[in-house]
Amino acid sequence: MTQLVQLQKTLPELREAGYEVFAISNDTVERLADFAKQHCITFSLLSDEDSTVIRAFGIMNTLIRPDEGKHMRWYGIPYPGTYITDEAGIVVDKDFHQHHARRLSGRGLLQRVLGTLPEQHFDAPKATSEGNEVTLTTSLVDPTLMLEVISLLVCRLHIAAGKHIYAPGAPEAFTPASLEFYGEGLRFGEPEWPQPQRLNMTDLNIQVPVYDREVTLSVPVTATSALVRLGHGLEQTSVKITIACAYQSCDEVSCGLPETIEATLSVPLEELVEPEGVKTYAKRVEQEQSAKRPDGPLDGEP
Amino acid sequence: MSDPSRYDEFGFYAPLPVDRAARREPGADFPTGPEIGSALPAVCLPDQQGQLVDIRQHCGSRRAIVVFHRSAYW
Repeated sequence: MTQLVQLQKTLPELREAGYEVFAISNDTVERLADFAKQHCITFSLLSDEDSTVIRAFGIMNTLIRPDEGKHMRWYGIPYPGTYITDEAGIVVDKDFHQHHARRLSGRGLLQRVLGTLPEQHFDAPKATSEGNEVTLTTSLVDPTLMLEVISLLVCRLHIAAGKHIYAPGAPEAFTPASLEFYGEGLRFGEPEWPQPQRLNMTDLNIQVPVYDREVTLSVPVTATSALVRLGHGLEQTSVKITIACAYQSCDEVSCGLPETIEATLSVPLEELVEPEGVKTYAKRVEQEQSAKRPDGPLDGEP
Repeated sequence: MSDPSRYDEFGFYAPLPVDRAARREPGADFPTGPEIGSALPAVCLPDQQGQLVDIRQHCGSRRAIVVFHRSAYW
């Protein structure tokens, strides 16, 4: 549900990039109409009520039996995922995750189809840290983080003119650039460093991978259940992400000492778009937990 | 920590007990449908207004993003 709302927000940019957007589920037309009206969805929500298309694609969830969750129509749902096609209808990319709750954010999908980072959102959290010769600027492509919605943390290293830093894979004598990420309750993917240049060190008769001027890389990041529990609202409204960048900057004549700079950005958390049923279940869980406390419910609790 | 029986093997919490059918997750080699480089199968389905939409016709010469989701209702 959240994914559809995020797609709607990103729709103008996706269309400007040349894409039409379609969503498919085994929901009835009536249920899709209700959702579209409630959330002002203007792109096509397609009803595959008997799962014919879901089956044709080969992605029907076969873990659910026909007699299970009949009222909710669980049987017939797909393994959720996204296909991206070219102008001829050929699949050029797809995004599927083993856990059903994981999916790209709307702007994460925009990055995927553009192949480059989208323009910074005006509300994007950002932070800067200056070291010797290198400035680290970091921002999130989305204005918030949500449970299992995969956003991108963008890190830009601005390197002073005339200087270079060593890229991962540099020989042992050189300190390569590295990034480490910390955020309680968050899950980070692996950073993908761009292709470095090759610097000829004629004195040593070797070539060394380096970066100069600017390096940009993005890292997937999402909030996990350690931070946000589905149905229970937000126990905290933001989370801090700390990025530590280690590097060694040099020029043609001399090298600086290895250095580490840190930047911390504060990212607001946002609740998922949830059906009412989830909150009802969550309240029941809280009541059960409260009843099990050795000293009974707290004042004011039933 | 809240009721551990609500956390699945991925550490994901939901208020529904983890043994419910809708909370079963597939193995790592679960099917993801048409491979990159293959044609997207034909899709002709009614939209939220009950109008039939043929994705290929609707797209014309434009690219497509096709999202399969579990439900807009639950």
